[in-house]
Amino acid sequence: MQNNTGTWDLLGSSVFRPQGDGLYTSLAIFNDIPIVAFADSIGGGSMKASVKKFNGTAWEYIGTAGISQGAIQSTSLAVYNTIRYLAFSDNGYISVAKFNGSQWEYIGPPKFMECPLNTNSYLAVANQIPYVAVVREGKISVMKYTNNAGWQYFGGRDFIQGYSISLQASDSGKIYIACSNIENGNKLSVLQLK
Amino acid sequence: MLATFQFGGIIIMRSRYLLCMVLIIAIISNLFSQKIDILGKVSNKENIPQLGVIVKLQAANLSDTTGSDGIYHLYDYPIPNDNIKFQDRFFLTKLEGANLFFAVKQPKQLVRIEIFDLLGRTVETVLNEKLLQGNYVVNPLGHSKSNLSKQVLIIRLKVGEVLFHSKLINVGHSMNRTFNHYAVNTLNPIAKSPKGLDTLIYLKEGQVITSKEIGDYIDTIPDLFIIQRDIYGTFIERPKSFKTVNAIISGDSIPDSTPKVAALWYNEPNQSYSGFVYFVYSSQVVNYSVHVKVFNVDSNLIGRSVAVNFPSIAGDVAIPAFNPNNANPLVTTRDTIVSINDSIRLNAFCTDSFGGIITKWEWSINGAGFVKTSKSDTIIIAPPDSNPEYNCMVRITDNDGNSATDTMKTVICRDVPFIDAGADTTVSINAPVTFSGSVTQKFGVIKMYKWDFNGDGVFDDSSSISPTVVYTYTHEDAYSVKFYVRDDDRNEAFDVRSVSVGNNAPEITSIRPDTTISIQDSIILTGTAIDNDGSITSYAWDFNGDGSYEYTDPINPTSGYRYQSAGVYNTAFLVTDNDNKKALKTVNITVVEDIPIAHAGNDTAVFMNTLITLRGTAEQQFGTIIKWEWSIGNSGFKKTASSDTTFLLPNIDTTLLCILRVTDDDQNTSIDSVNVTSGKWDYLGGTGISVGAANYNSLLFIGDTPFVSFAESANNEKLSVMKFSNNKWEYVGSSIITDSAVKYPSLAAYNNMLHVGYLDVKYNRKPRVIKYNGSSWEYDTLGLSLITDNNQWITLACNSKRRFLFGTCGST
Repeated sequence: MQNNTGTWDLLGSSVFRPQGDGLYTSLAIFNDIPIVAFADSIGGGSMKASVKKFNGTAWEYIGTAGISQGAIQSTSLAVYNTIRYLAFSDNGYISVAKFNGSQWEYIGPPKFMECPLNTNSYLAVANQIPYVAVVREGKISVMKYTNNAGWQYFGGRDFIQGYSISLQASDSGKIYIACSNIENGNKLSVLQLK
Repeated sequence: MLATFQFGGIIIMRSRYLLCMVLIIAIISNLFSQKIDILGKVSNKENIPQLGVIVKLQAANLSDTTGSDGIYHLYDYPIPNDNIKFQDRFFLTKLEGANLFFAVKQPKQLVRIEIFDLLGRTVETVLNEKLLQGNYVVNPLGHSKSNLSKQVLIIRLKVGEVLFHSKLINVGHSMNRTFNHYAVNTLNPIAKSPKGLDTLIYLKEGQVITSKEIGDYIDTIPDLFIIQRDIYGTFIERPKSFKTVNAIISGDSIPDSTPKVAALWYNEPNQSYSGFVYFVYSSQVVNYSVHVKVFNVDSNLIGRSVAVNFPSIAGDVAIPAFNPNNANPLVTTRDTIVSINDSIRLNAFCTDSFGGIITKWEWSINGAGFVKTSKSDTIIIAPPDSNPEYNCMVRITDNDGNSATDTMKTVICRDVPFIDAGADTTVSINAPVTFSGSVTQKFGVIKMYKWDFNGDGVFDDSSSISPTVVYTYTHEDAYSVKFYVRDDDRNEAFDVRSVSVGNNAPEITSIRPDTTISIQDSIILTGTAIDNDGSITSYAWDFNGDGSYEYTDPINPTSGYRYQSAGVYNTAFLVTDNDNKKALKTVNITVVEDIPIAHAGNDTAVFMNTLITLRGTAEQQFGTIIKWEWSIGNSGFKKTASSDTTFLLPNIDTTLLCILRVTDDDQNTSIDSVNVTSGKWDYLGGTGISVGAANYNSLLFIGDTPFVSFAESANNEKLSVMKFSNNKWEYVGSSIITDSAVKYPSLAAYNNMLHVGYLDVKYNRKPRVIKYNGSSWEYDTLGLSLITDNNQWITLACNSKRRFLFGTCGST
């Protein structure tokens, strides 16, 4: 649905994919157009990750369907300037890809970070640097990718025990993370790297 | 002058065992010639006279035996004790035959004797005059003046105011007048206490029934009863040397010290005995105890029964069968073994039957005849040259004259000591040799120890105390060493051992123990050795055990060495003396590489642009770490002065690989690394923003201002939105935005206006959008009718132009 006139309209069919496609979805806006990542049971098959955009009348794939190597358990979309980024968990590993205008290409090696199955991935991009956060065994880690160093832990691995995380970059490019802090009675904490 | 006394009484007994004895005792004595006249009778309870009862007057030595009439009569015998005189007594007034007996008790009283007929008429006044004090016997008819015919008369006597009447039968004969006066003497003390006068003893069948002093019964004689009881039993074997068997009776009226003894009859063919015992009857029940004693021809007690209690009124008394030869004392001894010249205490264990005592102990040593001893044991000295065995007999005799014997065998041994000079041995010249002989002996003590060390027949050492001696041989040879002992009985013993004295190899007395060291470590190898019969000429070490001695020195046994490779070395120590005799010992030297283990520490994250000190450590068994090096990032290893290194972290987020390298004194190295992350997560505005646990956290930046939405558990999962401003978090609008619990709230900004899309639990998880108008939160119009219930998930995305709400409806 979209709302730009005070009313909410349904974009395309309310059921744009058969049952099962709605799993592991994420939403972003690119050039005022909504893009959606999801586990694709048809296009990519085998519940691989696919990304679609709404072309005004219907939803269509961005790039080829089935971006991941295997079935996914989470997706996280991010848009920085003109680049669309996608993070997903791929059968126990985290991968991050970006769309180069014609196809999705991995940032760094695929499956660069091992994690348990069904691990959610949280993606944020600042200054063209992607950051991905995960919760593994109740401990939160954030990794960042640079061309020089590749994927490296950002602020140390497992730096806090928490869950229900939200990773965001400020307009000035600083990375913040909000989480329920297990070490503090599951209260809300917001942290930034210094 | 004559005095007359009479006693009498009758008792009838009911039992056939009871005899009624009527005693009539008359003792008639003249004051000048006192004589005894005792008359008695013994009957049973049916008044049947008893035959054969012997009655003895003990001191007078008179006796009589009752005849078929049961009467006995002891008489006409002077009282044996001249000092005893009977007391004179006033006559009792009585008419006996024709004589009237009466007494005048006052010095001078009027006495009137009258005779009346049956009609009360006075026939005659016989006497009417005052008489002197004394006893009188009058024949009143003899005084009659008339010639009275045969008739019954009444005689009245009045002495003073006392009257006496009696019938008097006149037989019609004229009698001569007699009037006798007997003076009454004054009382004397013997008459008041006549005990000891004499004793009557009653016996039947040799058994004393009872005895009584006659003085007790001068005035009255109590009735006397006796009881006859049968006593019988059997022996379990035939008595040895039998003479008599007696029943010994004691009880309430018979003290134990003077029991009644009744001879019993022994029926030898059936080894039984029986007899009677007689008691004085008492109306009260009397308890008795009886046991039987058997005596031999020497009148010694040879057997005794158990005691049997019985009451006087019971029937026969049966004695349990017993051994008639059981009265001998018991004596036992034990054989023994002694050594010659030893004192031997011969000890006999003696007991006597039935509480008797042993009165005599006698010992006969080896047939030498009995010698009386003062007690049960005696001491003899075992002679040195006598029979090896002594038969020692003890004989004891008890207070009944019974005796018993026992024989013990005393073996007298020579008790030669058994000695051992020790095992044959080989020793070195000039090496002290300790000779310690052992001696075993049952009795006695060793008085002398001697040693002949070289076998020449001459003892070289002697001691009265110790069998141990030290001797040093100075010449190489084989020696026969003799060990001699002598004990206190002059018994002697020898033993011989061989000692071979030779030139021996040196002896390594110590060597370094097995040791583990590190490569390149120096180790001191040392040992000590002695040569008792010469001198050491060489010390040598084979360090690696290959048979080649790398170190040799004539004086110094100590060498240092460094092993160049790891392994276990069987290092040998060889000592040689001046006779080229050698001693060898080995020691295991284990050489290990001993690589150190470096520890760089745990990975850590530190705030950017800060100083950090890494503290390294290392482990090593041997040696020391001589060099510490750190490589920080890609800087390469740089030597540090210590195990620590300090550096400034860059002002960027990065991870530095820091490597520690340690080097020990053997040039072994080890590395370890640690990741140091520059950049550390820091709390923004405190560690806990929400009141309670937060869920569905959604972070949003408008510019560089952070906003966060969440479901507040402290508010029943209702929606809250906070903003970080002025270094603190504050609620956007109120702390509680929604009126019901929310799920999956997502925070977005549309034209910098905060929006939150969520699933409303109150409305069956339908999606709702709420926005902040700058002062309060208000719901955005949403076509709820277009959205199904029970959505799984929803997210809101906005930009300056559009708002997109994406979610899963049901499972689509």
